[in-house]
Amino acid sequence: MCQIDSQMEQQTVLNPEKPVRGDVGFISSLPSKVEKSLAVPPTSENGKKKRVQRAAKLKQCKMDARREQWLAQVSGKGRKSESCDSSHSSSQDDGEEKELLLQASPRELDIITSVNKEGSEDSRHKPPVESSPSKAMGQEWSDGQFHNHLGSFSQDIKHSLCQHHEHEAACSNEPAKHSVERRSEQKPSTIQRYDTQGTWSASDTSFSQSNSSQMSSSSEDENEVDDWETVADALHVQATVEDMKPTKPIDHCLSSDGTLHLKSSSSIDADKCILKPESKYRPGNCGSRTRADAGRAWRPDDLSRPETLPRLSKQHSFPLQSGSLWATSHGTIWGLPPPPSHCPICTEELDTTDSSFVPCSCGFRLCLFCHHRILIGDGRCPGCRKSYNTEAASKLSRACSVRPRV
Amino acid sequence: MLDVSRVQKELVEVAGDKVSGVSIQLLGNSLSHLQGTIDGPSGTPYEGGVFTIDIQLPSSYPFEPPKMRFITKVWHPNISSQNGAICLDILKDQWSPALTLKTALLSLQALLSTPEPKDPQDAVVAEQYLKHNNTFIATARYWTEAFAKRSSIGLHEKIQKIVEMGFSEEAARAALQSSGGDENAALEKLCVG
Repeated sequence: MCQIDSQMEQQTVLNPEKPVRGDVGFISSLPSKVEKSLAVPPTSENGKKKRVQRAAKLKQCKMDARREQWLAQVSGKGRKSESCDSSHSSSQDDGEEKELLLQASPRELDIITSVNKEGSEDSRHKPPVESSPSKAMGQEWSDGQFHNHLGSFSQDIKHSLCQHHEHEAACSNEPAKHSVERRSEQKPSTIQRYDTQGTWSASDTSFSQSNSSQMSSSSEDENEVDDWETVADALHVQATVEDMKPTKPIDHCLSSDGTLHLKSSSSIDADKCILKPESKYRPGNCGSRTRADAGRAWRPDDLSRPETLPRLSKQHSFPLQSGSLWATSHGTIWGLPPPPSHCPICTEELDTTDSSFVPCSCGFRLCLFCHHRILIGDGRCPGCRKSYNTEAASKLSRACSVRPRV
Repeated sequence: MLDVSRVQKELVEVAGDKVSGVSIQLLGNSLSHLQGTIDGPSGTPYEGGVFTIDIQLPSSYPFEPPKMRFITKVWHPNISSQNGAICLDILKDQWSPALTLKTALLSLQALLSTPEPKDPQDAVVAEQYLKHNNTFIATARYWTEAFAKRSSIGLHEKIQKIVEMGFSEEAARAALQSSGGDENAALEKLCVG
């Protein structure tokens, strides 16, 4: 444990070099990342879920490898090994990612510190927004600031927590990277896609900032990424919550630099105007949630049923004339008693089709099998002994005659 | 193929009803041959009688009517006094699959209450009903007493046995009545007496 702590200290010594060396690279890389994430729209919704899921699995493997790399890097090899590693990593993508990791780690550590201090989820949302990340980023990771952060961190946190946080810090990048890589696969086109892009960009920032603990638990279970859909759903929900308090992304973007601010604020505007209609349909905020969740039509007795919706029962409430078409076809729905649960002929249970089947104006219900069997025979209704055929014929003749609506 | 589930449910339904005066018994293992009983409706010459009805269910039941026939001898315009055949529309062309054995038996009860002499099964009885109604009522009551009383179920056969032994029918009937339907006790009484 003590060793780990000293490793952390090493990291703090090690890290201040990084912004100096990679100052331009960092600043330029971050906006480019964000820009990429904001400007490149994702695929049309979650249509290719399967493909995305597979991609996510592959990425998870990659993530794990890189996390191990990162942990190995941190654990004692120090600066030399890191530089070695950076030279060792051939692709530019790797370099960018490392910077991202480095950028994220102090921020995440800070977040986690506050989480561990205060414990509540709200505190996890807010402190990073108002204090550390924005400040840190605003001052472009000045040595002192950065050192302060980690210094206070290492003082505050118990030894036992350190390793865990490293873990978290490493893996907290996963969602961001996932989304970035996903987006880079995807092709830009219609406005609708822009929609989803807006949602995703908002959810990404919020996810990497606030859901670190959630991700840490998921990273412990490697198969968690299999459940990518639920994660995506959670992101959507998060996005709608973000929509309510969009200050965080703004802060985040303001702190970076001018161009980024322009880009992201415009995209946030897009977020706002795009998320609003979405929040209408996934209404965590408005009262129609239950109805949308239930996924059913309005019922006449729904309390929150809009007045503008037509009252069908009212439309059909004109006087029913015995033997008329309306009495036969529509009276069955509104006027007749509820159907029996079993066919009175064969005593088998009536399914929904049978229950809605009223072959005779007398309202006698029976299952389709029995009806068919009767039609083979004398074809008379068991309830009233009238012939089904004449009934149908009279129906037809009445259907042809135009009846004015009362 | 007979709709076994429906017949079984009908039997359960009838067995659960103790007040309407109808019952159905199984005859052997087959559901296609049953035996029903109805109580003679009160206020009629058939009051106090228990009438047994033979029920044959066709394989197409309930789309075809059950075949019913009175086993107990009945004096009724619409029931054959010879073979117990019933003239009732719902057991013929007015049958409906919505009807059940129970409703059919109840219809027979109703038929006992309200004979239909204009559409007779037994022309002799119908004529008597129309022309000599009092005689009809007396005869019907006698037949009920003779053949349909619960105590006299099988009385006819017992009387026949005693008569075959050489006693008169009236003496045999009186002896059986005094001995409460016990054939041996009646014989003893006749032998002693």
